[in-house]
Order: sequence, then structure tokens, then C-alpha cells
Amino acid sequence: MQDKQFMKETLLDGARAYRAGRMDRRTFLALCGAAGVATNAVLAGDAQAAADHIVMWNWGGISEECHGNAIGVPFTEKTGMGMRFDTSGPLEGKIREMVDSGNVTADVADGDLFNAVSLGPTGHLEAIDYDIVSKERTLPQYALEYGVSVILYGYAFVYDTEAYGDNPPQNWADFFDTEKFPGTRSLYKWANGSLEAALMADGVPGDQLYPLDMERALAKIQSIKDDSIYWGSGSEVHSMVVSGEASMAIIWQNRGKNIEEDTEGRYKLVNNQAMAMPGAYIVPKGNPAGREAAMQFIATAQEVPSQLAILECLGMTPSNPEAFSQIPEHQQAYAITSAQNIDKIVFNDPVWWGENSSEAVNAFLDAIS
Amino acid sequence: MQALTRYISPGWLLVAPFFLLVVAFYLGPLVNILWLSLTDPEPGLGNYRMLTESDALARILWTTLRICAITTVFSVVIGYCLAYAMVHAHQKSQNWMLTLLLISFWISVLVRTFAWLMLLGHNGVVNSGMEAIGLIDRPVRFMRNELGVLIGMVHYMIPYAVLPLMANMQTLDPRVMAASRNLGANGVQTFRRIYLPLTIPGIVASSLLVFILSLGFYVTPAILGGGRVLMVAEYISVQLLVTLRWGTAAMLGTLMLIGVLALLWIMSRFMRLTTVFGGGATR
Amino acid sequence: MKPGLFDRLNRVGAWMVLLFLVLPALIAIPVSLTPKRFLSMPEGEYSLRHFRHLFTSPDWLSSFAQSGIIAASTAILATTLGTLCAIGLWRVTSRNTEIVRAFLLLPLIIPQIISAMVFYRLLVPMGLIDSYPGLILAHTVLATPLVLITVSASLANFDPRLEQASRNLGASNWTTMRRVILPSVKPGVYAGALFAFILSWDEIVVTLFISKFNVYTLPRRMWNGIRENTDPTVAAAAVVLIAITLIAFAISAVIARRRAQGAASKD
Repeated sequence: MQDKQFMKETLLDGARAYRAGRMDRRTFLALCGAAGVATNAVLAGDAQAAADHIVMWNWGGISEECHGNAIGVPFTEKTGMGMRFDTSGPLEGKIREMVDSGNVTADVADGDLFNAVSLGPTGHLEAIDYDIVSKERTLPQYALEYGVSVILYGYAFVYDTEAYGDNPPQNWADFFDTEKFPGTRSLYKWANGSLEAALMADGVPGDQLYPLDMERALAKIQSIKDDSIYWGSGSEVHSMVVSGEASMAIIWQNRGKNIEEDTEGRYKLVNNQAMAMPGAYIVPKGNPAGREAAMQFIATAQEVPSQLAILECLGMTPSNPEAFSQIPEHQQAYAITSAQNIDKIVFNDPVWWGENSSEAVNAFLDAIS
Repeated sequence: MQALTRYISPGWLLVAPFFLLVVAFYLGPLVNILWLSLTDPEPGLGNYRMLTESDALARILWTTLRICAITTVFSVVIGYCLAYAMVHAHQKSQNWMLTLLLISFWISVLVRTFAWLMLLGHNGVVNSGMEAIGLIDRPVRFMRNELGVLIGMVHYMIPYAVLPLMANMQTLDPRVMAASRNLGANGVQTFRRIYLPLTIPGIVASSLLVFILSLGFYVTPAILGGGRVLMVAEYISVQLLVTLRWGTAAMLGTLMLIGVLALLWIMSRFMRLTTVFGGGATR
Repeated sequence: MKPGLFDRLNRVGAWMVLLFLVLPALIAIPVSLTPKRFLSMPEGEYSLRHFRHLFTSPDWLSSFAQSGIIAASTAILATTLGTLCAIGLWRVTSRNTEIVRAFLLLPLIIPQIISAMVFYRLLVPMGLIDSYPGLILAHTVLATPLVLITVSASLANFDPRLEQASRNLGASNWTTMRRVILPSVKPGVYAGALFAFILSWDEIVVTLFISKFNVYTLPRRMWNGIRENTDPTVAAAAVVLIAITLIAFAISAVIARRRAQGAASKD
């Protein structure tokens, strides 16, 4: 962390020096090369950068670097525009607040596709321009009026191999079976993924989940309530698992890969019945760089090289079917749309979530408290 | 002008800036929120009707009231013993006790909550300590449940409970107690028949203060409750930031506000409010 | 009167409660000294790396600076407004003053979560969300009642005849204020300023709602760190905060002693 920070500062200093003519181009490029970062991303990150840039509103951390390299660099090559970040996390309420306040400072928000369903019709989002953005470069059910899925992430689970080594849990039914697999479970606090997992555990086939039978799902979740704890952020569940507080946890599949690595394989990720969640880049109404620039950005993100770069950097899986066959060998087990996994997973319905998420979250919070 | 100053004291001019600030930037939006509870998402009493229709809301209110009540009882009982010991201690040890009390009063709630997280966690100091001396063989769950919230809240509220109680006990005339003793009552009798009744105003004020503060408490339940202890304050924040139901949030806020104002009104019958809320500040 | 058994037991209990109040926070000290990358108790080895990170990371440093700026601005504004207000209320002899006083104390008494809604509701349409003016405005409204209380407490000891005397000697309103009233309420003003500073420096609930990215105060960063529950820098920050608390406490104790001496010399 410290090193990264140091590198970032060196680069920013370098960018300023380069601009001011104190550093020649070759030295600057070498510096960027040494840091493994593209020149444009650095220049764009510089606070002194020119006004024509696009602001991506994401969740910070490593995704700042990843989005910059995977999408920012090709986007800059294509359009000449730079890229900057607002890393405060585009919660749905925050997007609404930004548009309502009339002070829209972000162009593209790293959100969920269901945000597009709930925020679009209320006038908080720009509609997707399918003349620029490709409908073919995403899964057919995920090209909606106000949002298009650019990546997929997944809800899978990890388990402790020391606790269940001989007879490991293999599906959601096992996850919810605390008699056969005693131990503490950790579930996602905001309902998403947990509800579907509960229904599958209760015997609902993965392609018939929607509309969700809330009562049935909540009953299943309550059946393991005494053995459950709940997490609100990726790092929280990470520390719950690594500290041994939970022996099984519903988890984002990319986080599961990190946990496997951090615990040297003690915890293992199970992608069977994992739920693919469409992540979407949505555009707040009246974005400063203009609708077209935002659409260009989304179109860039759909391209196969960007898709694969995001997979490598963030562990988010491509949603562009062209990229499915190009998923590299070492990612096969983790990418949810890889040939190895794609037949085992189920797909989230953003329309149901967009229309029902308030009720679902409230009911879920009520059920677990 | 003269006629004006006869009716309006020039002192009001000094009060005006802050008064106007509060009216414009606090009272205004506050009234707006009360209004919202009747108009969002549609005009009517729909938000309030949810109270009778939704088991979830009823349960959250019940959890909140229960936790506030338990916190109040523990804080006030412990606070009473502490205040009693402090008021009757020698000047020097009283100063030391007061110093410790106020230091804990001043330490940021975030620091304290963080400390509990370290102490009570699965691999926390309390669990590993108890395991090391063989008291337990498996970690006990002290947090991410109601117990954790209660520990954190009582810890936070004790100083608030002590200050009004001390203010009250300090006004008592020790000669009354001495007289009781002289008339043949023993210590327990004197305490029960004389001291306790005389400190009832302090007990009421301190209970109400702790209860009011607990009602709107956000930080500790949100962190130590781990999602399993849903109280009104956290529920409001979820409605504002995640589910975007301003009407529900405004309705709960209104209820909380009415409750707090009612309690304050009761409290003002027993003690001057400025004494209670200035307790920490005027020392 | 000899202390009975109950009294003695109670005294022991009282000390234990006081230790229970103060000691838990100190756990931050060992945790902050862990050499590991994640939150843990150090085992034999100690390291200052998390303090080094705290004091070199631009994120944490900017949070310190932002909190400092906001708290200082809040303290100045709240002290000015609160002192004027307290003196005004003290000079007005009307039955309405107590009602007005109670009304002005509301921001302090109303639960913070409601205040958070209030300022969120206020600042979004004003476009002041996530800005210095927005945070300072909110914190000032919350902190001024504290100044009102401390200055009013000082004024309670002030003899109104002094003001009368000053006027009878021909001093103007302004001179009386500057030369007679203000010097005698100085301890209350200082205490109020300190409390206002601390309130803003520590404020988290309202801040959570009205800041997001441009303004990222220290409590906000702590809150994030605590929720994420991984980075020991939070422990180092907690230690620094405890140290600052102790220093502020020492300052306030000095002010209080001065006030007590002032009151004693007047009697």
C-alpha cells in the first residue's frame, strides 16, 4: 500500500515536471514503464489536467488503477480525453442526491444494472445510446434502456477445508445445512445474492428464481439465523473468514479468489450455482462530459481487451460473449463465464431487483435482526 | 426607536444571529421533514399506517425501546453507585475520580467502539484471555449481537448518567442524613428512607437523559451489532441511503422527535435542562 | 461518620467502574504497535510502521488537515455566535428568555440521526453537500449551543451591577461589552471554544450524511477503517486521538482551575 502510494506520487510529480518541461518525454515514459502504468492515466490523474476528461465514480481501492489501465488508456487513445476518479462509491441514494442537487460531477458510475432499472425511469440517468454502445457485446438480457452490463461479478461461497475437508459442501443446499456442516455462516447484509442462494438451497431451480418468493427465502435464511453473521463490505467478510470467525461465507467470487490465496488454500471457493450479477456503468443525468463521451467510454469498456484486462486486474468476469472463449487458463476456475463455470451458474434478474430492492432489503434486514 | 427599545430589549439583537441561523438552517428543514412524513411518497397517513401494518417496523421500534431501556437501567444503577462514591469521597480522590470519568467522557465514540471491536471479537483479547486461562474452550460471541451493543452503549452512557446524579447529590444537606442516624436509623434505613427519595429527581433526570441519548444512538449499534441488531437510527440511515424511502425515514424521525420532546418536557419538571446538558460542558 | 461496609465496597466498585470506563480504549496502543499488516495484537515484536504510515499517507494527513480546518472554523463561528447569544439572553429580562434558550439548545439535544436528516435535506438543494461551507455550517449549528451553555454559566457568576456601574460612569454599550463583560466571561468563552472544536473534530453521524469525497474528515476515515476492519493504521489514529483528547482535557482543566480561582477571588 505504502509502495503504491509512493509510486503514485512519484508519477504525479513526474507528470507535473513533464508538463512544465522539467523532464523529457523519454524519462517520463521510462518512469511510467517502471511503475507499470500507462502515461495517459497518470496525466489524467494529475490535478492540473485539462478540462476535457471523463470522471468515473467507483469504489476506490485497486479499482482506480484497474479502471484506469483497462478502460482509461484505450479510451484516451480513441478520444483524446483523459480520465479521473471519484472514489466515494456510487450508492443509489448518492446518485439520486447528486442529480437532484444539480451538481453532477461524475460521468460514469460503477453501479449495478438494477440501479439502472430503479433510477432510469425517475429521470436520474441518461439513456444508453445503442448507436454507440453495442447490444451484441453483452448478454441479451442485460442490455436495458438506462444501463448495460459491462462486467459480471458473482455471489459464490467459500468454505473452511479444515472443517469440512473430507466431505466438502458443494452447493447452496449444503451451505444452508447446519446439521451436516456445523459452523458459522456469513451472509451479505444487503439481501442481494443471499435471497437467491436461500431459494436454490430450498430446491428452486436456478432458472425459475424470479419473481423471488420472499417468504420462502426469508424462512430459509431464518432457519440458520443462530449460526449466521452478516457482512457489509468485501474486506469485512475477508477478515471474518481469515480470522476463522466464519467457516462458510457467501462472497463475491473475485474476493473468494483473494481469500484462497491469503489463506494458502485453507478456504476454498465454490462456484457451483454461483449467481452472476450484472455490473453496469450508468450515466447520471446531465453528466459534465456529455452523454456521447460517456457512451464512448462504455463502448470502450465492452471491447475484448478491456474486458480481459478487468478480469486480470479486478477478477470481474467479462459480460461480452466474444470474450468468454478467450478467458485465460489460470482464470478458468474463477471467472464465472468461463467454459468451466458457465453451465453451473445462474443469472440475476436486474429488473426484479430494480423494482423490488427496497422491499427486499427492508424485509431481509427485518428477518436477520 | 425609543418606543421600540422599550418593548424589545436590545439584548435580542445579540441573540438574533444564532436564532435566525437555527430557524433557517435547522428548524426549517426539520419542519420540512415532518411534512415529508405526511406527503412522501403520497399525501396521507400512509407512513404512519405502516406502524400498525408492518411487523418489521414494530419489531425495530421494540428492539430500540428494549435496548434503550436496558441500557438506561444498567447505566443509571452503575452511575448511581459511582456518583454516590464520588460525592462522598475525600476531595482529593474525588478529583481523581472526576478526572477519570471526564476523560472517558471525552474519548471519541469511534475510538471506544474500535476498542470494543478489538476486545470482544472472535479472536479478541477477552476471548483469547479467557481461553488461555481455561475458562472457555471455544470463543464466545460477545459482539455482532445485542450483548455487544449493550456493552458498548452502557460503557458510553455511564458518564452521562453520573453527571446529573452528582449534581443532585451535591445539593443534599449531609445534616439531614446525620439527623436520621442520630434518631436511631441504621445506614440502610437512612439510605432507603431519606437518601434515595431525595435523589429521585437526579435519578429521573439521569434516566431520561440516558434514554434520550440512547434512542438516537447510531455508531455503536451499527458497528457492534453487525447487522443483527437493527435500531431506529440505523434503519433511518438505510432508508435514506440504500432504499431511498424518505417518507418512512421522516416518519420514524418524527416519532423519535416527538418521543424526545415529550421526555424533555417530563425532565424539565425535575431539573433545569441547561444543568443536565451542561453537565459535561460546565465542568 | 464512619464509612460502613457498604460504603467501602461501593468505593472499590466505583474505582473498578472508572477503570472499566477508561481502560478499554487503551487496547488501541498495543494493536497500533503490531508489526503485521492486519489488525492483531503484537506477539513479542513491535513496530511503528502504522504510525509512520499514518503520518506519511496523504489520505490520513489530508483528513487531519480537513478536520482541523473545519473544527477551527466551527470553533470560531460557534464561539462568536454563542457568546453574543448568551450575553443577549442574559441582558434581556423577560420571561421568554428561558423558552428561547431551550429552543436554541435543541440542535444539541435532538438525536444526531435526525440532525443528519435535517442537514442532508438542507444541503442537497443548496449544492453544499460534501463541501467545507456545508460541513462548517452544520457543525456550527450543532456546536453553538455548547458555547451558549458555558458562557451562560460564566455570566451566572457575573454581577450585573458591574455593568450598571460601567454605564453610569459613561461607558458606551460597546465599551461596556468589551471592557467589562467579555473579560469576566473569558473562561466560559474559552471553554466553549474548546468544546465546539472537539464536537466538530469528533462529529461522525451528521458528517457521514453530508460528506463523501471532497471533504473526508478524520472521523469519517476512522469510521471507514473500523467498518473495513483490516488496516491497523486505524489503531494508530485512535492512539493519536486519545493523546489529543488528553491534551485537550489538560487544557480544559487549566481553564476550569482559572475560572474557579477567578470566582474565588471575587467572593
